[in-house]
Amino acid sequence: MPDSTETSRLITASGHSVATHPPVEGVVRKFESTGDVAAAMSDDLEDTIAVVRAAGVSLLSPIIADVAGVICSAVGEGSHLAIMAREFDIPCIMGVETGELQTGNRVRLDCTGELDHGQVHLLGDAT
Amino acid sequence: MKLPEVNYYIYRMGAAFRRDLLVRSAFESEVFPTNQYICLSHIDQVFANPDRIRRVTQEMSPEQLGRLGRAPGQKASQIYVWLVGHEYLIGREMLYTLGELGPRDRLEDLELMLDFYTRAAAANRNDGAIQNSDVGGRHPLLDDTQVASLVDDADSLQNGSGPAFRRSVAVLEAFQFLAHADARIGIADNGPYRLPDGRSVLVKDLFDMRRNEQPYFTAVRDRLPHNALTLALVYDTLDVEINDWSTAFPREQDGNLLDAASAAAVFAVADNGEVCRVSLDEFADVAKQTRSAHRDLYRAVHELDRRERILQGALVYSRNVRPFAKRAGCDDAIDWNLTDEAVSLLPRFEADEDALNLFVQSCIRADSASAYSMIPEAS
Repeated sequence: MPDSTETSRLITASGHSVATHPPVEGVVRKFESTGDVAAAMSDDLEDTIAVVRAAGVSLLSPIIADVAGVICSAVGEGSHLAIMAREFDIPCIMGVETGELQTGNRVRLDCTGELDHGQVHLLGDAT
Repeated sequence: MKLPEVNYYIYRMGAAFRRDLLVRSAFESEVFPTNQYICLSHIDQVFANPDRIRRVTQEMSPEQLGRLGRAPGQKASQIYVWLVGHEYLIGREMLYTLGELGPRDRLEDLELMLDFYTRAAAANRNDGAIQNSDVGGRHPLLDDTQVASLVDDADSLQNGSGPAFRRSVAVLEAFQFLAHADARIGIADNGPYRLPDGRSVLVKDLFDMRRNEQPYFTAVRDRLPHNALTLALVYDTLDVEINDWSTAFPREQDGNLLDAASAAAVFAVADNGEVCRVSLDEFADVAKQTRSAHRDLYRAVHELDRRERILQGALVYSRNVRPFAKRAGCDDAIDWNLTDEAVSLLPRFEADEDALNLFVQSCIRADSASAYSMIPEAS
């Protein structure tokens, strides 16, 4: 999938898609605690790309069906998070170095190619 | 069980467990301090489970218990058989690492636990194996008649109902993870089974949806209409592996087991084992109720402090004998609380790094293909 935005840049090519999926774009929101998720339960999340550290599924579980995609810094295509993302048909890339991503960044998740080449493109700030 | 047999099973079980450990992600969760509660609960089992098993087997033999688990929607079956056998061994390894136990200590307990596990596990299937990895990732829990009764008149998923069904299943599974402290022990897959017409069947059990061992679950206790559900998934072609933790994985990496199902039937399983068909419309309604309950359950977990998440999380594993005690009718005669001996050791692995190190040092050693240590001859 070629970049459609001149200003976009690939920030990683090392992620592992849990399944092939058409590209999606959305706004990064980092979730690090149950408090972060509890605060998001009443929000409209259809444009949200959830960024998490660990591959357990429970952190995102109340909202995983509502988000546009998931980026996880832990590896594990057999992880519980990966299994649930497949079942909800949510694009999910594991093993991504997420340090450069900030809440509010606009990104595109590309899970169209080989599974071990899931890509996250940083498109800029949401604003 | 004599020492050579003990060591045979220790090696065989430990080699299988080590292989599974190396291909799965870390036991890591941002909701529960998973490694801490795993260490606590597994150590606890070394102190508590042998006497619990002695009490249970006064009422029923391992073979009886294993055989009774060969029915849809049974918690005292499959993954819980595995947990009772393996977690005891893992707990011993952790105590070796902590210097709290020597390999020949509590040897009678070890022999008892392996005897129970191997006999119950063999009786919980019909192929002579004791664990799924012995036979390439299969668990033939049910017989042909049982499977036929599940898939008779299954609903087609090829009429546009597939995506909604898949999402309903996913909603229930996500709830089960949270209800079980981020562990996949409220869900167990078995099969695959071959039908006479060449199609295949995978069976997925979900249990403890109305009641479970975690105190935080009281927030949604009895909220859902069924405590156990069994899903029979029918496939035109199916290439699946079920690991020793009763989790089915498609052998094709990109595969999605729910997407690939061509038909499905859902059943509610009552506490007495009675099986009752649930329509796909009702199943969708159950999923809707589950989503609502899930959010309330999540808020209850959010209110727990870190130490309470460890102590409550530990109960998902430390009470793994309890389903068998309930089946044997002696649940009330057994103390199911964490032992003081185990809780007193918690400070030694309460920090994230300490818990992870304890688990890794205990079960993943470079010099052994088995996660568990052989028992030396008496000197």
